[in-house]
Amino acid sequence: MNTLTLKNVNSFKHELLLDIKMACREPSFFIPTIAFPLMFYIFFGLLFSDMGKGQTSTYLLVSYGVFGIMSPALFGFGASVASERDKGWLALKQLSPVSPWQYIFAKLLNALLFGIIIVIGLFTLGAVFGDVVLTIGQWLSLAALLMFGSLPFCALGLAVGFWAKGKSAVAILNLIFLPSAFLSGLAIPVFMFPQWLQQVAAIFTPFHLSQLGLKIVDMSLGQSVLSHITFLFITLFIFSVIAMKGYKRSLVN
Amino acid sequence: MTQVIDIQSLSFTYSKSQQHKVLNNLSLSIKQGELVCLLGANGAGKSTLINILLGRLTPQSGNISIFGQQQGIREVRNRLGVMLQNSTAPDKATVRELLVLFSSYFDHPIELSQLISQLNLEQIIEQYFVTLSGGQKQLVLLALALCGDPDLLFLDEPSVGMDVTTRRILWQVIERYKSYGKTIVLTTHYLEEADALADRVVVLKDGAIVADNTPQQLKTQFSHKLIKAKTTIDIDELSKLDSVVAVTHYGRYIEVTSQDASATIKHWLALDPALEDLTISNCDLEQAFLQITNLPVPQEQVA
Repeated sequence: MNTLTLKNVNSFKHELLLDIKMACREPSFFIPTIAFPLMFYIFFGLLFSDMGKGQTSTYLLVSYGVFGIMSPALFGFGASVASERDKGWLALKQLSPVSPWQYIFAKLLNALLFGIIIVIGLFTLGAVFGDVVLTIGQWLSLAALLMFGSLPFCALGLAVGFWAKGKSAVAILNLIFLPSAFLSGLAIPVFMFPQWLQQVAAIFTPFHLSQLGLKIVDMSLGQSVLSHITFLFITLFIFSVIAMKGYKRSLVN
Repeated sequence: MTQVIDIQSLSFTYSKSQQHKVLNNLSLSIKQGELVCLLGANGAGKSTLINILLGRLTPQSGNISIFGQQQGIREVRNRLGVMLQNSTAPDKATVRELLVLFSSYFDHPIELSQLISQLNLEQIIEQYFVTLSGGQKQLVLLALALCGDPDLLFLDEPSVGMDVTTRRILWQVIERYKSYGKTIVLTTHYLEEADALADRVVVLKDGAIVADNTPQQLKTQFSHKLIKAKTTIDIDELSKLDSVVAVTHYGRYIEVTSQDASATIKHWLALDPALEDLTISNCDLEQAFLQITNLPVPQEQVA
């Protein structure tokens, strides 16, 4: 490795570590982000599980997995970009020689890291206390799906982060986060929805990600896998474009 | 000496339909090692000019080069240090973490320990940015601007929020960088600061340069005198005297701004032979600036 590449790697390491440290220094961010999905899962997936034989706990493992990775993707990534933009910290970075890919990619990894912590927490709870029995292949593909599934939400968070001001970004993301999570059937399973509401669910990204997850554990509604994947890619593409336009705008403001 | 900034007939409007030009056919060149202070009232085009030089805004017409290269490209940014008016750092990062991170962005960063001692940051180096006072925050932002060992420094209102101690450090650092042969572009609201530091003062008005000279020359160019004395004559009467530009109360004294001090004093003495404690002084840069930009001199509002 030549010295320049080594220097870039070193710089990226500082960027990522500082991002992680700053997230850990904000209890108001990391406690709800990590604790809520685990807590909901303990309540609804483990304590109130009455279907037995790990049915409910397996179904809700997928639901709260999706719910869990959404929060760091939307808030850890998007809202933190918005706050750095408001402070003018982003402007200072933009005027320095650093590539924007460095700090955006560092924030992305930071969000994925929190996502992994939540997924590992949920898997442990499910396997140890919830009678969730899956093959190694199922565990791994579910974990991988949730990581890749974070990306559309990261793009959405980034798009809001570049367009909305710091405080209103959090409010807008909350307006997107909770309703889309509930209407996608993450709290109450989608098969319990009336027919018309099931159709409404299909316009929300979390619905498609959770259906893919449920496919892995053989509990999906049975819609086409391709349509779910297409939907996730379209979301990723649209919001990446919006985020990119927002980035260009932030160069001036 | 080599030119660091070269601007040729630059024009800029925020929207194409607008007739009003924020910058109008502006040309300016700055040589290596110069400390240039940009002055101008709000809306004169200072911020727009700086944003264009930094590559954040694209002008409609004109040519700009920095170090003989196009503004905003990475090679230029690598030699640039910037302190922006509305920029601060994230709350929950320590001063050291911020400096280490920012230094890693540049190809040839300055030794961190050197920077820390130059700016007296030893006491606050492990503190979170959010816990610092206004002046300390400004010093840290200055350190961030310096950590890439820049050849060209943009300091946009660096002394805002600074107390006497931190401002002294700022001035020392600016003087030191000037002595290294670095080029510095400074904007400030403290004309005293411009007077103390700048080699050249460039005054903008309505998007054009209306004055470009040393602070000393500017002050003599607008050679009004200030005459201060205790007198029994009231303000209205004094303002009618020969060559008087403005009259104001100054504690128990009356202060008269005059274009011709001896003529004014002759008439004043004729009206009030018992005139006491008479002093005559030169205008400071602030009064010169107000006259250049034809802003209403504050004294006139009183008179």
